[in-house]
Parts: sequence; C-alpha cells; structure tokens
Amino acid sequence: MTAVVVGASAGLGRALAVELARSGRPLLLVASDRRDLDALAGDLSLRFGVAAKVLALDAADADALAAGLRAAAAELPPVEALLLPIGTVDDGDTPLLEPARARRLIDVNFTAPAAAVRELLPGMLERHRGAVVGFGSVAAARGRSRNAVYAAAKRALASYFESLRHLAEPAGVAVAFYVLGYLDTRLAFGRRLLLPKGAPTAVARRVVRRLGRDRGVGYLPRFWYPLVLALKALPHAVYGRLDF
Amino acid sequence: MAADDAFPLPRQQAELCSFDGGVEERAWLVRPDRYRDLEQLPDGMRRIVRGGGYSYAAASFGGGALVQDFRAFDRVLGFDAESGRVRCEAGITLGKLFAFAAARGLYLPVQPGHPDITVGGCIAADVHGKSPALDGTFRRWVVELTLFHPARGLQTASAEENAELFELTCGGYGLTGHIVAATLQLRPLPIEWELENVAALSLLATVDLLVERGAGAGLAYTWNDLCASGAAFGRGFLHLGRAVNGDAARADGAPPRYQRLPPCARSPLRAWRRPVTPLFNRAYGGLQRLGRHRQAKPFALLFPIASRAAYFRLFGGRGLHEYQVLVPRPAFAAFARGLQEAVQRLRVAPTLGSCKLFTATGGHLRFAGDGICMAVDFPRSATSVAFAARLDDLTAEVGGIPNVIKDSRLPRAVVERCYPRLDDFRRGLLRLDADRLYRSELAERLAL
Repeated sequence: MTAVVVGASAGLGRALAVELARSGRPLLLVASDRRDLDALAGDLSLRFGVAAKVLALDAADADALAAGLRAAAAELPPVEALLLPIGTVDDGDTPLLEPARARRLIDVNFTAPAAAVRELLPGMLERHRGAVVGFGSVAAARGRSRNAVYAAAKRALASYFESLRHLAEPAGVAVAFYVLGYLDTRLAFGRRLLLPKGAPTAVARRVVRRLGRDRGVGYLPRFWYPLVLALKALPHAVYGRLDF
Repeated sequence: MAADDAFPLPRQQAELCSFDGGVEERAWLVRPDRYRDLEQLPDGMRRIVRGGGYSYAAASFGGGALVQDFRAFDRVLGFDAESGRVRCEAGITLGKLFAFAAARGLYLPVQPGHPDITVGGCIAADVHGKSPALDGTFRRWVVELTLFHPARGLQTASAEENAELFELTCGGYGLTGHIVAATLQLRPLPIEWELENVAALSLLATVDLLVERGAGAGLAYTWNDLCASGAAFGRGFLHLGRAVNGDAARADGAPPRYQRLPPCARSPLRAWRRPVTPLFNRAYGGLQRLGRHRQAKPFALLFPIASRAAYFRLFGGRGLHEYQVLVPRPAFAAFARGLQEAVQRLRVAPTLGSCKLFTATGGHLRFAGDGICMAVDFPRSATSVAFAARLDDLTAEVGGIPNVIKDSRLPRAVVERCYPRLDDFRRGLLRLDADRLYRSELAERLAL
C-alpha cells in the first residue's frame, strides 16, 4: 500500500510523489525542509484524496533517517514501494575534494538510500511483495574531473542495487535501478548541455507505471543507453581529451 | 557547462519579452523550487517575481532585476468546502485551479482569458474577467494573501489585517514583495452558460445596448468591428450570458486540451493588415449573426483565449498593441468619436474592439472604477505609436484611465495625468521598502 519517497520535495522526487498520489497510494514523503513537505503533502491529499505523511530531516544523518522511517512506518499501512530519488552534488567536487564535503556526498547519495532500504526492506521480504527503486546518473558512467565523488557514490549505489536485487528478487520484491540522463531540474538549470533535458514528469510517470514490474537496470530517457555504452567503450586516449 | 559557483541558486540568462512584443530585455533568471530558495538571494539584490509571463507590459522583468520564476510553487494548500475557500501557492495556474475547483462544483468568478496565467499575476495586476460590473476585479475574491519580503519576512495581509499592505499589493504590480500564497473565495459553478448575440449597427448602439441590457446580465460584453467606416464604425454584437445553475457537481475537472500562448505576440507571419483584417472582421460578424443562441461550457467560457491563441501568432515581427481604457459612461460618446477620427486619420486597422461594463473600487494604480471598459487591439507598426499616443490624449481628455498592465509603451506622463492617486502609491511603496528591492521595466518606466 504505502509508498515512501526519500528526497521528495523537488525535482524528480516531487514528480514521483505526484504520480504515486495520482495512482491512489498513501504516501510517506521524506525531505529536509518541512515547509516544502507540508505544501506538497497538503496538495496531494487535497487533489488526490490520499493520506500523505511527512518526515523532515537531514538524510545525511543515516541514523536519524532510519529512526524516522521506523517510527513513521509503524503508523502507516505496510510499505510496498520505496523510491529513492535522493541525491546532492557539490560545485567543488573534484578528486581533490576535502574529506568533510566528500563524506557528505557519500552520505546523501549512498549511505542514506542504503539506510532506508535496511529499514524498510525486511517488511517487504516478509510479505513477499514490494518494490525498491534507486536512481543513478549518467555522470557515473565514466569518471571525469568534475563530480568525482558524486559519481563514485552513484557507482557504489549501482553496485549496491545489484546486490539488493540478488537478495530480494527471489523473495518476490522487485528491485529497479534507473540511470538518469539530464533532467529539467535544478541540477541542470542554467547549464548549456549538448543533449536535451528529460521532463521529470515523464520519467516519473514511466517509473510509477512500471513500479513492481521493471527489474534490474534501465536508462531514462532511454536514448542515453547507447550513448553510455559508447562512452564506456572509448579508449582513454580519446576519452582523456574530452572536456565536458 | 561551468557551474556558477558564486551564486546561491542555479541561474541562467534569458531574453524576456513583454507579451505585446514591445519590450525585450536580457535578464538573469532563477527557478526556485523550495522555500529556502526564496531566502537565499544576495542581500540588496533587485528582484521581481514572474509567473506565466503573459502580461502585455513588462511587469515581470527589467530594471536590472533578477527574475524569479515562481511556477514551481503551484500547490493547493487548503480547502474548506463549507465556505468555498481555497488556499494555494501563487504560482498555481488558473487552469490547474479551475480543475481543482470544478471537480468540487466551484469556480473563481474573475478569470482573465487563458489557463496558463498564474494567481500571483492576477493579484499583482488586479485583473478583471468577463463580468467586472457584477464581480469586480480579482481583489474582491482574495480573502487573504501571504507576502514575502527579505526585510519583513512572511506577512499576512487582508482587508482587515495589514490593510494598507493588502491595498498596495492588489494591483501593486509585484512591487510590494513576493506574493507567495493566497486564500481565494470561490462560488458554485454553473453547468453551462446560455449565450445570446444581439446585433447593433454602430459602436454607440452596441454600448447603448450594453448599458440597457448588460447591467442585469451575468455576463455582457460587446464585439465591435472597428474597421467598418462611417456610420457603421464599431458595428457589432452584444454578447449576453446567463448562467444555468444546477446541483450536478461535476467530477470532470480535468481541463480539456487547449492552445498554448506564444511567449510573446511577435511572429514570423503578419496576417493582420489591410485588407485581411477588415475582411476577417466582416466574416466574423457574419458568423455571429448565424448563431444567435448557443451554450458554452465553463472552461470554454472562462478561458476564451484557450481556443484562440492563434490570434496572437499573426501580428508579425513587432507584435501588437492592446489599448484598454475605462471611460466614465457620460463621456463614452466623446471617446467613440475621437477613436473613430483617429482610426480613420491614421489608417489603423484594429483587429479587435470590445466593451464591458465596469463597477469596481479603484485606487492607486488599479485599473478599476465605474464606466465602460473598452479594449482595442492593433498591430505594432510605423504609425501605431502615433495612434496609441492619440488614444492617450483622448483618454485623458474624457477623464478615463488606461490599463497599465495591457500596454508596454504607456508613458509615465500619461499615467501621471490619468491616475490622481499615483503619488499615494509611490509613497506607499517607499513606506514599505525604502530600498525598493522589487523592480521591473514597468516600475522604471513609471518611476514607481
């Protein structure tokens, strides 16, 4: 029944929350600012008649996230969908990023989703139903001088989801990991990009429509799949000269 | 694709254009999508809030201001079925609000004509709809609003609480601060409207009909052919509408597909010129004659531009002028004479003439008062500015007021001549904010 969205207040997370509400699921929305969450939860419950609870906390604190999810989930119908569009970048993110800032990138992009899974997956495994959805980035397809730690954390997350699928799929829980290209959200706003930005609403519709049915790794927008393959196949002699 | 390290929010430069095509400026644009974004702009930075961006005048950019696109803030925050009041964020579009309200058997009685216009813009320009004699301007339906200003934080304003702030903000062109949210009064939605067209042979005859039959009607406006010459100048129709009420609360709130407006009325193609415009007007008048009676569904009636956006794509590379004026009733004959004389002397081919009755409390720079409201559209051209200037004089001569939000050209001297309380407005803005943080091209032009 209940769908949990971690990183729900803006961008893809907010679009996912809207589509989940449209499909009639009760929601638990997690993000850092209560004002954004209250506005979103109010809107979704008024427009779609679904119950929407909110949890405002800094997800970089994995213990607080786990405790908050545990307490909130106890008051809600069983959680059947866990979506993890949480992520953050740092403008100074190079291989030389100072450790405290690097740690924050790892905490938000990797540790937080893993902590949320640890808290909510056991119930799904017990009931033999549910879906866990993680989100990666084409920026992690191949390391480059920018977004170095971010890409490392997203690549770690991809590996974690591979393991998760290995664990959960036999028990009847669907695990999907979408590698996202540029979306028209604040991450890409104001940037001159070579390729078009996907609409968060379109991506969210697709993810929610296929919830519990998509398994394994998928690329959204889908034209990124061949591009990522090509990027990975480039010999370093060529890749090293690219500036992007 | 270098990130902008120094600035607290992602930003980009954009060419923004007033909807009439008259003013174009390059501006820095940010697109906040969380509440903390509103607090993070550098101190003292000039700014202005933008919604749909469909104001004819350059009210949502210019004057060196950072433009804050507020359309991500489009959520319904509260609803009380008993009182029929809805609270929403100011970036919500009228179309989205209509969908929400119609599904509950309600609607907002004052609607400018296109569903992509936002509530914040409606408040800032104190817009009117199809029935200003009956329903006043937008301000009448604003129960309460929430305003953000970095120096004052979040404030609530209504006719009772912070009344001066409320007065300055409704029709304050976004210069008092950032309209974040509002509580609006809705009323029961009719099932449909029954429309009747009554023909009349001249501008004055249609307006006589409007005065005679329009006062009691739920909806009354005229369409006038201002290309017709001589005694037939302004011949046209009075459109009367009567709401058909019923208790069948609909769930079909989802708005139908509709035509989007272009970002501004500049287009590669210019069809509106002689002889196309006079012929088109004649044909349009003929069509009206064929269908004397018809029914209109709420969405189509409230958002007529939603099915006629193509009209704005035919003005050519320079766009159009819309001149909207509110004329005291006794002076309308003099205004009509002057209008006809100017149309003929300057050989203008207006694409639209339309009149409504108006009854609403004016003040400051609000386009409101009692009288006949007339709109005239015409292509921007070599002679159009002289024609508009003639209308400025005419408006002042007959004691009328021009609509500030409809005309990106309107000179400061004309506004000073026609709006006796302009200085009150200026002083009010300064009392609120001596640094005048919220700026726009409109504010610069009118020295606000």
